[in-house]
Amino acid sequence: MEVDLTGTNPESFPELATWGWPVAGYLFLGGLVAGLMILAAVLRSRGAVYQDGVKKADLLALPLLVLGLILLWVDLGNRWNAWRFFTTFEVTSAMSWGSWILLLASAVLFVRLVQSWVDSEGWMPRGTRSVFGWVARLGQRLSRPLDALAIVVGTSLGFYTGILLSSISARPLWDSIWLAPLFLVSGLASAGAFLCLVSINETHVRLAPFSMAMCGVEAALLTVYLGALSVAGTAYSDAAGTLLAGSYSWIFWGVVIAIGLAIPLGIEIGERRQAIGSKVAKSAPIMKLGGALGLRAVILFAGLASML
Amino acid sequence: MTRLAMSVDVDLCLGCEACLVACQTENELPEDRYRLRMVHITQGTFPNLTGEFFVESCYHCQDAPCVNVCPTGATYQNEAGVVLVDPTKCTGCKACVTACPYGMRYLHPNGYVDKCTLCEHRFDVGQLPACVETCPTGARAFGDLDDAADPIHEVMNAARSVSTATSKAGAEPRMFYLNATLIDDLDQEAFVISREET
Repeated sequence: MEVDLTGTNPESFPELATWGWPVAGYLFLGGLVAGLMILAAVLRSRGAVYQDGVKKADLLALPLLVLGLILLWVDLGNRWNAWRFFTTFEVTSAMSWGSWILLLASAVLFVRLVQSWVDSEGWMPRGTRSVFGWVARLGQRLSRPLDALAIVVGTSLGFYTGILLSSISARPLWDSIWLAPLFLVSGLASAGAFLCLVSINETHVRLAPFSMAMCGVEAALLTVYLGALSVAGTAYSDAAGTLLAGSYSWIFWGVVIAIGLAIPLGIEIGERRQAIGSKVAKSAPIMKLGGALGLRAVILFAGLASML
Repeated sequence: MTRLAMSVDVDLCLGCEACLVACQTENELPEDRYRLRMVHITQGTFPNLTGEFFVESCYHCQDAPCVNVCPTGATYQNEAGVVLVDPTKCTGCKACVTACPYGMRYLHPNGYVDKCTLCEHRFDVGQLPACVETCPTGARAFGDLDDAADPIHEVMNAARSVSTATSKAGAEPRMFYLNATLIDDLDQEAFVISREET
Protein backbone atom coordinates (compact mmCIF):
# COMPACT_ATOMS: atom_id res chain seq x y z
CA MET A 1 0.00 0.00 0.00
CA GLU A 2 1.26 3.43 -0.91
CA VAL A 3 0.14 6.63 0.77
CA ASP A 4 0.71 10.11 -0.66
CA LEU A 5 -0.33 13.33 0.94
CA THR A 6 -1.24 16.76 -0.39
CA GLY A 7 -1.89 19.76 1.80
CA THR A 8 0.57 19.19 4.61
CA ASN A 9 1.67 22.08 6.78
CA PRO A 10 5.34 22.00 7.75
CA GLU A 11 4.79 22.67 11.46
CA SER A 12 2.24 19.94 12.00
CA PHE A 13 2.84 17.11 9.54
CA PRO A 14 4.44 14.58 9.26
CA GLU A 15 6.29 15.58 12.42
CA LEU A 16 5.41 18.38 14.79
CA ALA A 17 7.83 21.29 14.69
CA THR A 18 5.99 23.67 16.95
CA TRP A 19 8.30 24.26 19.90
CA GLY A 20 12.03 24.71 19.43
CA TRP A 21 15.12 25.56 21.47
CA PRO A 22 13.62 28.71 23.06
CA VAL A 23 10.98 26.53 24.77
CA ALA A 24 13.62 23.98 25.85
CA GLY A 25 15.65 26.89 27.26
CA TYR A 26 12.60 28.24 29.06
CA LEU A 27 11.77 24.84 30.59
CA PHE A 28 15.36 24.63 31.84
CA LEU A 29 15.41 28.16 33.25
CA GLY A 30 11.94 27.75 34.78
CA GLY A 31 13.10 24.62 36.60
CA LEU A 32 16.36 26.27 37.67
CA VAL A 33 14.55 29.31 39.06
CA ALA A 34 12.01 27.07 40.82
CA GLY A 35 14.92 25.25 42.48
CA LEU A 36 16.64 28.53 43.41
CA MET A 37 13.44 29.85 45.02
CA ILE A 38 13.02 26.72 47.12
CA LEU A 39 16.70 26.43 48.06
CA ALA A 40 17.07 30.11 49.00
CA ALA A 41 13.93 29.94 51.16
CA VAL A 42 15.12 26.80 52.95
CA LEU A 43 18.75 27.93 53.41
CA ARG A 44 18.00 31.51 54.55
CA SER A 45 17.74 30.44 58.19
CA ARG A 46 20.42 27.74 58.02
CA GLY A 47 23.56 29.54 59.13
CA ALA A 48 26.18 31.89 57.76
CA VAL A 49 27.90 29.39 55.51
CA TYR A 50 24.90 29.32 53.17
CA GLN A 51 24.24 33.07 53.08
CA ASP A 52 26.50 33.74 50.10
CA GLY A 53 24.49 31.17 48.13
CA VAL A 54 21.17 32.67 49.33
CA LYS A 55 22.30 36.14 48.30
CA LYS A 56 23.38 34.93 44.86
CA ALA A 57 20.03 33.16 44.44
CA ASP A 58 18.14 36.32 45.45
CA LEU A 59 20.14 38.42 43.00
CA LEU A 60 20.13 36.07 40.03
CA ALA A 61 16.80 34.20 40.13
CA LEU A 62 14.68 37.04 38.73
CA PRO A 63 17.07 37.88 35.85
CA LEU A 64 17.15 34.16 34.97
CA LEU A 65 13.35 34.00 35.05
CA VAL A 66 13.12 37.12 32.88
CA LEU A 67 15.53 35.49 30.42
CA GLY A 68 13.26 32.42 30.35
CA LEU A 69 10.20 34.60 29.77
CA ILE A 70 11.99 36.38 26.91
CA LEU A 71 12.65 32.96 25.35
CA LEU A 72 8.94 32.10 25.70
CA TRP A 73 7.96 35.42 24.22
CA VAL A 74 10.34 34.95 21.28
CA ASP A 75 8.64 31.62 20.53
CA LEU A 76 5.15 33.15 20.30
CA GLY A 77 3.68 33.57 16.84
CA ASN A 78 1.78 36.67 17.88
CA ARG A 79 4.14 38.36 20.36
CA TRP A 80 2.13 41.55 20.76
CA ASN A 81 -0.80 39.50 22.05
CA ALA A 82 1.22 38.16 25.01
CA TRP A 83 -0.76 40.38 27.40
CA ARG A 84 -3.76 38.17 26.65
CA PHE A 85 -2.30 35.55 29.02
CA PHE A 86 -3.16 37.88 31.88
CA THR A 87 -6.69 38.86 30.93
CA THR A 88 -8.22 35.46 31.62
CA PHE A 89 -7.80 32.31 33.64
CA GLU A 90 -8.55 29.12 31.72
CA VAL A 91 -8.88 26.39 34.32
CA THR A 92 -8.22 23.47 31.93
CA SER A 93 -5.11 25.05 30.42
CA ALA A 94 -1.76 24.28 32.08
CA MET A 95 -0.24 27.25 30.26
CA SER A 96 -2.84 29.57 31.78
CA TRP A 97 -2.00 28.28 35.28
CA GLY A 98 1.67 28.71 34.43
CA SER A 99 1.22 32.32 33.34
CA TRP A 100 -0.22 33.27 36.71
CA ILE A 101 2.37 31.20 38.62
CA LEU A 102 5.14 33.00 36.70
CA LEU A 103 3.61 36.37 37.58
CA LEU A 104 3.46 35.44 41.26
CA ALA A 105 7.02 34.06 41.16
CA SER A 106 8.24 37.29 39.54
CA ALA A 107 6.64 39.35 42.32
CA VAL A 108 8.26 37.26 45.09
CA LEU A 109 11.64 37.29 43.35
CA PHE A 110 11.43 41.05 42.75
CA VAL A 111 11.09 41.71 46.47
CA ARG A 112 14.07 39.44 47.24
CA LEU A 113 16.18 40.98 44.46
CA VAL A 114 15.54 44.52 45.67
CA GLN A 115 16.15 43.53 49.28
CA SER A 116 19.45 41.89 48.41
CA TRP A 117 20.47 44.82 46.20
CA VAL A 118 19.69 47.40 48.86
CA ASP A 119 21.55 45.33 51.48
CA SER A 120 24.63 45.21 49.30
CA GLU A 121 24.32 48.98 48.72
CA GLY A 122 24.26 48.55 44.96
CA TRP A 123 23.75 51.48 42.58
CA MET A 124 20.21 52.76 42.25
CA PRO A 125 18.78 55.37 39.90
CA ARG A 126 18.16 58.77 41.49
CA GLY A 127 14.73 59.00 43.02
CA THR A 128 14.18 55.27 43.33
CA ARG A 129 16.01 54.83 46.63
CA SER A 130 12.93 55.47 48.77
CA VAL A 131 10.73 53.09 46.74
CA PHE A 132 13.34 50.35 46.71
CA GLY A 133 14.01 50.96 50.40
CA TRP A 134 10.33 50.43 51.13
CA VAL A 135 10.31 47.17 49.12
CA ALA A 136 13.47 46.01 50.95
CA ARG A 137 11.90 46.75 54.34
CA LEU A 138 8.79 44.87 53.25
CA GLY A 139 11.00 41.89 52.37
CA GLN A 140 12.69 42.03 55.77
CA ARG A 141 9.44 42.38 57.68
CA LEU A 142 7.69 39.59 55.79
CA SER A 143 10.75 37.38 55.43
CA ARG A 144 9.24 34.20 56.82
CA PRO A 145 5.88 34.40 55.01
CA LEU A 146 7.80 35.29 51.85
CA ASP A 147 9.97 32.20 52.22
CA ALA A 148 6.90 30.03 52.78
CA LEU A 149 5.31 31.58 49.69
CA ALA A 150 8.56 31.06 47.73
CA ILE A 151 8.53 27.35 48.58
CA VAL A 152 4.90 26.99 47.44
CA VAL A 153 5.36 29.07 44.28
CA GLY A 154 8.74 27.50 43.49
CA THR A 155 7.28 24.00 43.82
CA SER A 156 4.33 25.00 41.64
CA LEU A 157 6.69 26.48 39.04
CA GLY A 158 8.87 23.36 39.01
CA PHE A 159 5.84 21.11 38.66
CA TYR A 160 4.34 23.40 36.04
CA THR A 161 7.30 23.03 33.68
CA GLY A 162 6.50 19.30 33.58
CA ILE A 163 2.71 19.64 33.62
CA LEU A 164 2.88 21.98 30.61
CA LEU A 165 4.01 18.95 28.62
CA SER A 166 2.20 16.16 30.47
CA SER A 167 -1.18 17.87 30.03
CA ILE A 168 -0.88 17.30 26.28
CA SER A 169 -1.99 13.70 26.03
CA ALA A 170 -1.70 13.62 22.23
CA ARG A 171 2.07 13.21 22.70
CA PRO A 172 2.67 9.82 24.36
CA LEU A 173 6.18 10.65 25.60
CA TRP A 174 4.74 13.51 27.65
CA ASP A 175 1.60 11.74 28.82
CA SER A 176 2.99 10.71 32.22
CA ILE A 177 2.42 11.78 35.81
CA TRP A 178 6.15 11.33 36.44
CA LEU A 179 7.23 14.21 34.22
CA ALA A 180 6.27 16.94 36.70
CA PRO A 181 8.20 15.49 39.69
CA LEU A 182 11.11 14.68 37.37
CA PHE A 183 11.36 18.29 36.19
CA LEU A 184 10.96 19.63 39.75
CA VAL A 185 13.76 17.43 41.10
CA SER A 186 15.94 18.22 38.10
CA GLY A 187 15.29 21.90 38.84
CA LEU A 188 16.42 21.44 42.44
CA ALA A 189 19.56 19.60 41.27
CA SER A 190 20.23 22.40 38.77
CA ALA A 191 19.76 25.04 41.46
CA GLY A 192 22.21 23.23 43.74
CA ALA A 193 24.71 22.98 40.90
CA PHE A 194 24.20 26.63 39.96
CA LEU A 195 24.83 27.82 43.52
CA CYS A 196 27.92 25.59 43.73
CA LEU A 197 29.18 27.34 40.61
CA VAL A 198 28.56 30.96 41.61
CA SER A 199 29.09 30.80 45.37
CA ILE A 200 32.18 30.87 47.53
CA ASN A 201 33.98 27.56 48.01
CA GLU A 202 32.48 26.83 51.45
CA THR A 203 28.95 26.96 50.06
CA HIS A 204 30.05 24.78 47.17
CA VAL A 205 31.38 22.14 49.56
CA ARG A 206 28.13 22.19 51.57
CA LEU A 207 25.78 22.16 48.59
CA ALA A 208 27.56 19.62 46.36
CA PRO A 209 26.20 16.58 48.28
CA PHE A 210 22.67 18.03 48.06
CA SER A 211 22.95 18.52 44.32
CA MET A 212 24.33 14.99 43.91
CA ALA A 213 21.50 13.54 46.03
CA MET A 214 18.98 15.35 43.83
CA CYS A 215 20.73 13.92 40.77
CA GLY A 216 20.28 10.46 42.32
CA VAL A 217 16.55 11.08 42.83
CA GLU A 218 16.39 12.43 39.27
CA ALA A 219 17.99 9.23 37.94
CA ALA A 220 15.47 7.14 39.92
CA LEU A 221 12.54 9.22 38.61
CA LEU A 222 13.87 8.94 35.05
CA THR A 223 13.93 5.15 35.45
CA VAL A 224 10.36 5.08 36.79
CA TYR A 225 9.16 7.51 34.08
CA LEU A 226 10.62 5.50 31.21
CA GLY A 227 9.68 2.18 32.83
CA ALA A 228 6.04 3.28 33.21
CA LEU A 229 5.94 4.40 29.57
CA SER A 230 7.46 1.13 28.41
CA VAL A 231 4.55 -0.88 29.80
CA ALA A 232 1.77 1.60 28.93
CA GLY A 233 1.09 0.44 25.37
CA THR A 234 2.68 0.45 21.93
CA ALA A 235 2.66 4.21 21.27
CA TYR A 236 4.11 4.89 24.73
CA SER A 237 6.80 2.21 24.61
CA ASP A 238 7.76 3.35 21.10
CA ALA A 239 8.08 6.89 22.42
CA ALA A 240 10.30 5.73 25.31
CA GLY A 241 12.28 3.69 22.78
CA THR A 242 13.26 6.81 20.83
CA LEU A 243 15.08 8.01 23.96
CA LEU A 244 16.62 4.70 24.93
CA ALA A 245 17.66 3.30 21.57
CA GLY A 246 16.21 5.50 18.84
CA SER A 247 17.04 8.73 17.10
CA TYR A 248 17.31 10.74 20.33
CA SER A 249 19.31 8.18 22.27
CA TRP A 250 22.66 9.93 21.71
CA ILE A 251 21.36 13.06 23.51
CA PHE A 252 19.75 10.97 26.23
CA TRP A 253 22.74 8.73 26.98
CA GLY A 254 25.46 11.20 25.99
CA VAL A 255 24.20 14.49 27.41
CA VAL A 256 21.56 13.64 30.04
CA ILE A 257 23.07 10.51 31.57
CA ALA A 258 26.83 10.74 30.92
CA ILE A 259 27.50 14.51 31.00
CA GLY A 260 24.59 15.43 33.28
CA LEU A 261 24.74 12.66 35.86
CA ALA A 262 27.51 10.03 35.66
CA ILE A 263 30.64 12.14 35.02
CA PRO A 264 29.73 14.84 37.60
CA LEU A 265 29.09 12.07 40.13
CA GLY A 266 32.54 10.63 39.39
CA ILE A 267 34.15 14.07 39.76
CA GLU A 268 32.41 14.77 43.06
CA ILE A 269 33.42 11.40 44.45
CA GLY A 270 36.98 12.03 43.26
CA GLU A 271 36.94 15.45 44.95
CA ARG A 272 35.71 13.96 48.22
CA ARG A 273 38.55 11.47 48.12
CA GLN A 274 40.88 14.33 47.25
CA ALA A 275 41.87 12.60 44.03
CA ILE A 276 40.63 15.53 41.95
CA GLY A 277 41.55 19.19 42.37
CA SER A 278 39.01 21.94 43.02
CA LYS A 279 39.48 23.45 39.54
CA VAL A 280 38.38 20.21 37.88
CA ALA A 281 35.62 19.88 40.49
CA LYS A 282 34.16 23.20 39.31
CA SER A 283 33.34 21.54 35.99
CA ALA A 284 30.86 19.15 37.66
CA PRO A 285 28.11 21.76 38.21
CA ILE A 286 28.56 23.06 34.65
CA MET A 287 28.04 19.54 33.33
CA LYS A 288 25.02 19.03 35.56
CA LEU A 289 23.45 22.21 34.20
CA GLY A 290 24.19 21.05 30.65
CA GLY A 291 22.55 17.72 31.43
CA ALA A 292 19.45 19.47 32.83
CA LEU A 293 19.11 21.53 29.63
CA GLY A 294 19.65 18.34 27.61
CA LEU A 295 16.90 16.58 29.59
CA ARG A 296 14.36 19.31 28.73
CA ALA A 297 15.48 19.40 25.10
CA VAL A 298 15.39 15.65 24.52
CA ILE A 299 11.99 15.19 26.17
CA LEU A 300 10.61 18.21 24.30
CA PHE A 301 11.86 17.21 20.85
CA ALA A 302 11.32 13.45 21.16
CA GLY A 303 7.85 14.20 22.56
CA LEU A 304 6.94 16.35 19.57
CA ALA A 305 7.96 13.46 17.32
CA SER A 306 5.88 10.91 19.27
CA MET A 307 2.37 10.14 18.04
CA LEU A 308 -0.62 8.28 19.42
CA MET B 1 -29.37 22.12 19.77
CA THR B 2 -27.38 22.24 16.59
CA ARG B 3 -24.47 19.88 15.93
CA LEU B 4 -22.84 20.68 12.63
CA ALA B 5 -20.83 17.96 10.89
CA MET B 6 -19.48 16.97 7.50
CA SER B 7 -19.33 13.70 5.59
CA VAL B 8 -17.27 12.60 2.59
CA ASP B 9 -18.41 9.74 0.37
CA VAL B 10 -15.13 8.01 -0.45
CA ASP B 11 -16.83 6.17 -3.36
CA LEU B 12 -17.51 9.50 -5.05
CA CYS B 13 -14.27 11.34 -4.22
CA LEU B 14 -12.02 11.64 -7.29
CA GLY B 15 -9.07 13.12 -5.43
CA CYS B 16 -9.21 16.17 -7.72
CA GLU B 17 -8.34 18.45 -4.77
CA ALA B 18 -10.79 21.12 -5.87
CA CYS B 19 -11.84 21.28 -2.21
CA LEU B 20 -8.28 22.19 -1.15
CA VAL B 21 -8.14 24.98 -3.72
CA ALA B 22 -11.64 26.23 -2.89
CA CYS B 23 -10.74 26.32 0.80
CA GLN B 24 -7.52 28.21 0.14
CA THR B 25 -9.29 30.73 -2.10
CA GLU B 26 -12.36 31.24 0.07
CA ASN B 27 -10.34 31.70 3.24
CA GLU B 28 -7.47 33.61 1.60
CA LEU B 29 -4.86 31.20 2.94
CA PRO B 30 -1.14 31.56 2.24
CA GLU B 31 0.02 29.51 -0.76
CA ASP B 32 1.91 26.94 1.31
CA ARG B 33 -0.62 26.46 4.10
CA TYR B 34 -3.70 24.23 4.06
CA ARG B 35 -6.75 23.61 6.19
CA LEU B 36 -7.46 20.35 4.33
CA ARG B 37 -5.17 17.40 3.71
CA MET B 38 -5.74 14.88 0.91
CA VAL B 39 -4.62 11.32 1.54
CA HIS B 40 -4.12 9.23 -1.63
CA ILE B 41 -4.05 5.49 -1.01
CA THR B 42 -2.95 3.06 -3.70
CA GLN B 43 -2.97 -0.70 -3.31
CA GLY B 44 -1.90 -3.60 -5.52
CA THR B 45 0.68 -4.15 -8.25
CA PHE B 46 0.52 -2.48 -11.66
CA PRO B 47 -1.69 -2.90 -13.65
CA ASN B 48 -4.00 -4.27 -10.96
CA LEU B 49 -4.25 -1.17 -8.81
CA THR B 50 -7.03 0.11 -6.62
CA GLY B 51 -7.11 3.51 -5.03
CA GLU B 52 -9.03 5.61 -2.57
CA PHE B 53 -8.88 9.21 -1.42
CA PHE B 54 -9.90 10.70 1.82
CA VAL B 55 -9.75 14.28 2.85
CA GLU B 56 -8.82 15.23 6.37
CA SER B 57 -9.55 18.52 8.05
CA CYS B 58 -10.28 19.61 11.60
CA TYR B 59 -12.61 16.95 12.99
CA HIS B 60 -14.38 19.43 15.28
CA CYS B 61 -14.06 16.87 18.05
CA GLN B 62 -16.76 16.55 20.67
CA ASP B 63 -14.20 16.88 23.50
CA ALA B 64 -11.55 18.86 21.67
CA PRO B 65 -8.08 18.72 23.32
CA CYS B 66 -7.11 21.95 21.52
CA VAL B 67 -9.86 23.86 23.34
CA ASN B 68 -8.76 22.57 26.73
CA VAL B 69 -5.11 23.64 26.40
CA CYS B 70 -5.68 27.16 25.04
CA PRO B 71 -4.41 29.63 27.68
CA THR B 72 -6.32 32.69 26.44
CA GLY B 73 -9.66 31.24 25.37
CA ALA B 74 -8.81 32.02 21.72
CA THR B 75 -9.74 28.45 20.75
CA TYR B 76 -13.34 27.71 21.62
CA GLN B 77 -16.27 25.57 20.58
CA ASN B 78 -19.41 27.43 19.54
CA GLU B 79 -22.97 26.35 20.30
CA ALA B 80 -23.11 24.27 17.10
CA GLY B 81 -20.03 22.30 18.17
CA VAL B 82 -17.72 23.99 15.66
CA VAL B 83 -14.18 24.49 16.99
CA LEU B 84 -13.01 27.99 16.12
CA VAL B 85 -10.03 30.28 16.73
CA ASP B 86 -10.37 33.98 17.53
CA PRO B 87 -7.20 35.43 15.93
CA THR B 88 -7.45 38.59 18.03
CA LYS B 89 -7.02 36.54 21.22
CA CYS B 90 -4.49 34.03 19.88
CA THR B 91 -0.90 34.46 21.08
CA GLY B 92 0.51 31.85 18.69
CA CYS B 93 1.80 29.80 21.63
CA LYS B 94 1.12 26.64 19.58
CA ALA B 95 -0.16 24.60 22.54
CA CYS B 96 -3.25 23.71 20.47
CA VAL B 97 -1.15 22.67 17.44
CA THR B 98 0.77 20.36 19.76
CA ALA B 99 -2.39 19.06 21.44
CA CYS B 100 -4.24 18.16 18.22
CA PRO B 101 -3.69 14.41 17.79
CA TYR B 102 -4.54 14.67 14.09
CA GLY B 103 -2.13 17.46 13.09
CA MET B 104 -4.91 19.61 11.66
CA ARG B 105 -3.74 23.02 12.87
CA TYR B 106 -0.97 25.28 11.64
CA LEU B 107 0.57 28.63 12.44
CA HIS B 108 -0.59 31.28 9.99
CA PRO B 109 2.23 33.59 8.84
CA ASN B 110 0.34 36.42 10.56
CA GLY B 111 1.11 34.78 13.91
CA TYR B 112 -2.16 33.13 14.90
CA VAL B 113 -3.15 29.48 14.68
CA ASP B 114 -5.51 28.60 11.86
CA LYS B 115 -7.70 25.62 10.95
CA CYS B 116 -10.96 24.60 9.27
CA THR B 117 -13.95 26.64 10.48
CA LEU B 118 -16.53 24.72 8.43
CA CYS B 119 -16.76 28.09 6.65
CA GLU B 120 -18.75 29.47 9.56
CA HIS B 121 -18.92 32.87 7.82
CA ARG B 122 -20.76 31.27 4.88
CA PHE B 123 -23.07 29.20 7.06
CA ASP B 124 -24.16 32.38 8.81
CA VAL B 125 -25.52 33.70 5.49
CA GLY B 126 -27.12 30.42 4.43
CA GLN B 127 -24.31 29.14 2.21
CA LEU B 128 -22.54 25.77 2.29
CA PRO B 129 -18.83 25.49 3.14
CA ALA B 130 -16.66 26.26 0.09
CA CYS B 131 -15.34 22.68 -0.14
CA VAL B 132 -18.87 21.23 -0.15
CA GLU B 133 -20.13 23.68 -2.75
CA THR B 134 -17.11 23.13 -5.02
CA CYS B 135 -16.99 19.31 -4.98
CA PRO B 136 -17.72 18.29 -8.59
CA THR B 137 -19.11 14.86 -7.66
CA GLY B 138 -21.14 15.88 -4.64
CA ALA B 139 -19.00 13.64 -2.41
CA ARG B 140 -19.26 16.04 0.49
CA ALA B 141 -22.33 16.66 2.62
CA PHE B 142 -22.77 19.14 5.44
CA GLY B 143 -25.55 19.50 7.94
CA ASP B 144 -26.96 19.35 11.44
CA LEU B 145 -26.74 15.96 13.15
CA ASP B 146 -29.38 17.00 15.66
CA ASP B 147 -31.93 17.85 12.98
CA ALA B 148 -33.56 14.61 11.83
CA ALA B 149 -34.86 16.34 8.69
CA ASP B 150 -31.39 17.49 7.58
CA PRO B 151 -30.30 15.89 4.26
CA ILE B 152 -26.98 14.76 5.82
CA HIS B 153 -28.91 11.96 7.54
CA GLU B 154 -30.24 10.71 4.22
CA VAL B 155 -26.70 10.60 2.80
CA MET B 156 -25.29 8.82 5.83
CA ASN B 157 -28.16 6.34 6.08
CA ALA B 158 -27.75 5.36 2.42
CA ALA B 159 -24.05 4.57 2.86
CA ARG B 160 -22.78 0.98 3.10
CA SER B 161 -20.45 1.99 5.93
CA VAL B 162 -19.68 5.04 8.03
CA SER B 163 -16.16 5.55 9.40
CA THR B 164 -14.66 8.17 11.65
CA ALA B 165 -11.08 8.85 12.62
CA THR B 166 -10.13 6.87 15.71
CA SER B 167 -10.67 8.79 18.92
CA LYS B 168 -7.34 9.86 20.36
CA ALA B 169 -6.42 11.81 23.48
CA GLY B 170 -10.07 11.74 24.53
CA ALA B 171 -11.22 13.54 21.38
CA GLU B 172 -14.32 12.34 19.59
CA PRO B 173 -13.88 13.29 15.93
CA ARG B 174 -16.99 14.42 14.07
CA MET B 175 -16.27 13.92 10.40
CA PHE B 176 -17.67 10.91 8.62
CA TYR B 177 -16.20 8.90 5.77
CA LEU B 178 -18.83 6.97 3.83
CA ASN B 179 -18.27 3.72 1.91
CA ALA B 180 -14.55 3.57 2.68
CA THR B 181 -12.72 0.27 2.18
CA LEU B 182 -8.97 0.76 1.79
CA ILE B 183 -8.84 3.33 4.58
CA ASP B 184 -9.44 0.50 7.02
CA ASP B 185 -6.30 -1.29 5.83
CA LEU B 186 -3.99 1.62 6.47
CA ASP B 187 -1.33 0.50 8.86
CA GLN B 188 -0.12 3.97 9.72
CA GLU B 189 -1.52 4.70 13.12
CA ALA B 190 -2.20 8.31 12.18
CA PHE B 191 -4.90 7.21 9.79
CA VAL B 192 -6.47 4.30 11.63
CA ILE B 193 -10.17 4.66 11.19
CA SER B 194 -12.89 2.98 13.19
CA ARG B 195 -15.59 1.67 10.91
CA GLU B 196 -19.21 0.88 11.44
CA GLU B 197 -21.25 -1.12 8.93
CA THR B 198 -24.71 0.34 8.38
